[in-house]
Amino acid sequence: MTTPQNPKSASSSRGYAASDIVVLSGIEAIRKNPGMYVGSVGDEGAHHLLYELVHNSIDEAMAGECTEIEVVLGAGFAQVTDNGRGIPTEPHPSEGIPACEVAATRLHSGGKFSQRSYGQTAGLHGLGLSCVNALSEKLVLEIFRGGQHYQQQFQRGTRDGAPASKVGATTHGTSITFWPDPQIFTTFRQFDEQVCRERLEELAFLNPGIELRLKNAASGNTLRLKFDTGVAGFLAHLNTREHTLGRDPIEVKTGNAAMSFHAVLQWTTGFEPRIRSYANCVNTVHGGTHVQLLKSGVTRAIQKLMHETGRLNAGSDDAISVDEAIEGFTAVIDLRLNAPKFDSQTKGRLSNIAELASVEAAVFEQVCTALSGNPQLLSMILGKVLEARSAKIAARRVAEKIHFQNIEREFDEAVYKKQFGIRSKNWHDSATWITHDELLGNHAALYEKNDEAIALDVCCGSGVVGASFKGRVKKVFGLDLTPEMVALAGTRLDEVRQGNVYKIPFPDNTFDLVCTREVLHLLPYPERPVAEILRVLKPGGQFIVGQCVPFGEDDGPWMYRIFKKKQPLICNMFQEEDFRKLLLDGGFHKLEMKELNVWESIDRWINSYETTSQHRHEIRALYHNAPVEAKRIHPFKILPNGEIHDLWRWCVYSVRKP
Amino acid sequence: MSAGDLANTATQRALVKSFTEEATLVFRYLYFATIADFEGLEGHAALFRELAEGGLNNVHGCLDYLKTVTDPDSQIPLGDSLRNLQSVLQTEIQQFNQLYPDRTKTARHEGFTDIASWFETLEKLKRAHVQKLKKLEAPRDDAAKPEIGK
Repeated sequence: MTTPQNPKSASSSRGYAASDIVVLSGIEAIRKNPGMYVGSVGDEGAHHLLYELVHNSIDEAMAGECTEIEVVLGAGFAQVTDNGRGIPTEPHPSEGIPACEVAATRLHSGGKFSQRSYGQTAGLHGLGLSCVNALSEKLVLEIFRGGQHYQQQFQRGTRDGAPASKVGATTHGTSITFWPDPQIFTTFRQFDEQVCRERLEELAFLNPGIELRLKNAASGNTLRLKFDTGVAGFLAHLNTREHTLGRDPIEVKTGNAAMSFHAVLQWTTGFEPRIRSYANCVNTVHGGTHVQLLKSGVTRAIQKLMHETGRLNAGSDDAISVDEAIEGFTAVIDLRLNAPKFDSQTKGRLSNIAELASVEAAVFEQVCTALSGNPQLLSMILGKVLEARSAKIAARRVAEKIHFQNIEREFDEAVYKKQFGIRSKNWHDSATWITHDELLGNHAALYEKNDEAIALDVCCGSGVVGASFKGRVKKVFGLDLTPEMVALAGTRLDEVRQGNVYKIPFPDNTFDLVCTREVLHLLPYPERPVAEILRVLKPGGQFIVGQCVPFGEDDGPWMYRIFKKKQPLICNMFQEEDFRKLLLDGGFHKLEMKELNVWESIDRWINSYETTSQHRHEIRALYHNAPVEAKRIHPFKILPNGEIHDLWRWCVYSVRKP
Repeated sequence: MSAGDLANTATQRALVKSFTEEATLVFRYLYFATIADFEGLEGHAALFRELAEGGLNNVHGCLDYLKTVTDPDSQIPLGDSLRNLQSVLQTEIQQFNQLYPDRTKTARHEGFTDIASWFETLEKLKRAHVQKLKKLEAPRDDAAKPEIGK
């Protein structure tokens, strides 16, 4: 193994003078085509401006010249202050104006072109400050350097008045306050504190010993982020809510004169792989070479260990695929390299190849060594990978069976029992909607209180919908197909029976209220369970049912594919009017409907047994490549960290038996 | 032979067939690229996308000739946007009125309720498309008039 080297120490003693600022070209292009430089002119783009400045300060820290970075968020502005060397203020040798003004107003200028002042950098190679300046309505640059306090203002990338300088500064560093230009970022109002917190948090983990602070200008509250645990601590932090296989992560380190690669990895009992990757502290949200090489090395190691332990036969069994090897896998990659190459100016994807040639083999060898020395952990991980393989086969069978059962016109209980039985393990964690108070409240609000009423929650799951009526009825029964859900609902409802909604095990005219939620779309021939519900209700009895539906015709086929990939059992993608018709054609009347839109975390929703890793990938791709006609009526957001939040249109219906 | 004589020739039929094949290929390549992305096969994904892009040119190249005769699907002569609008409207209306309802029935009859629901979802999308296209059809000076069906 090669000893990791960190070339940053080589640059730490270097000076940083005006002549180090190299001028390459002008700045106007940025305002003409901002998307090319900061990704978008939406909120994400405005946040990108802030990250550019924070990364410039992180570059100072990586050069060993800065220990504290403070970010202040205010009404439409942000301020980034560090205690680094301060941008040089002396006149630039060829430009004849202060070097810091060159850095702020000329594209492709800055200290990172000369290789003399910095080793490894995260900043935009000269687009950083000038780019932020060009896209800011106003920017105030303050520099504390050599006993001087230097201040200069800019408007939309050009200087606004002469710089002021006074003596008596006792500190050193740079402070930049900027207001993203509303002419460019037309929808931007203010920086999202939560999003900024996450970004600073990861930087604090990646740079142990550096203190990052996030301050709210209005409240004065300051959050201090300083960690000594590094990437291992970061992974433990990310896995706080997960059940990890083994306590300590596996560590992989390798490097050469051009780069150092450090990764920590750990499998969990979850499904969705989560790999956070950084190149010089830049969050490469779309991965790239470093991520590919890690996945490949891990997969090859798992394959070898499967053969060595006799779990798979090299001759007859299919090779382990990447998606099988990394199901439930979590990792943090901290890559530092001298010349990072990114696919775009926003740096979402790393594309260096030559410098990383040794990484795959190092991952393979070090994972093999770590696991060979820990038979207990090895056994858990290999078991998990084999489970992923059998789940993939099972999911294929579910999709096949659903056709088969329809041909036979028989409801195949076994398929549903298996799917929902397994899901019961983490039911409440599996989606936001399940325990969403306002949504549950909408169900309860449609109910006319009757202390003597007997209620039934069909396909009750964990019983939360039925439980929302408790105290307003005399008794709540539950009905579910799976023994696991029956046990879970037993803790909430008065009495729970195991049974099938196509043949509800109660006599006619038994209940005053029947409720259910997000069930009928899973059932072939939904008119049959609707008829059963009508049968067990007393005349005048009420049926309350919640269903997530498309916003209209334009997002229907897109949503159909997302939902079908998530849950192969889906049989119907109801439009709002279809659902209405299903109830009224089923013999109900007096229809009322309450609508509520709820943000759902797609990452959480698809982290589930019933969704294969390929389908998870395809669901993400569906959001990234959503058709314009669907986007126009169906809001969703993809956060800078890659998380997807989708707005779901919930319709809660109340109907009565005549 | 001049281009005007292309109608009802074996060459025209060959162009229609090439048009369909090439169009189908474009969308297969794009679908397969997503799978290659998932498998981490970046080289496959890149080549599939590249060939899809080229395929689009091949599809349009066939239309360059076919437009001198008729639209390969609607059989309506192509030309300016007013004519082309008639051509796509005819396909979308037919899909909405007849093709998807028939397909829904078939799938339901054979017990594929999920696929029947998929066809229904497409039928509704087609209804939305027809409404949007009909708005374009309305002459500009009539734009203020209430639309038929509203």
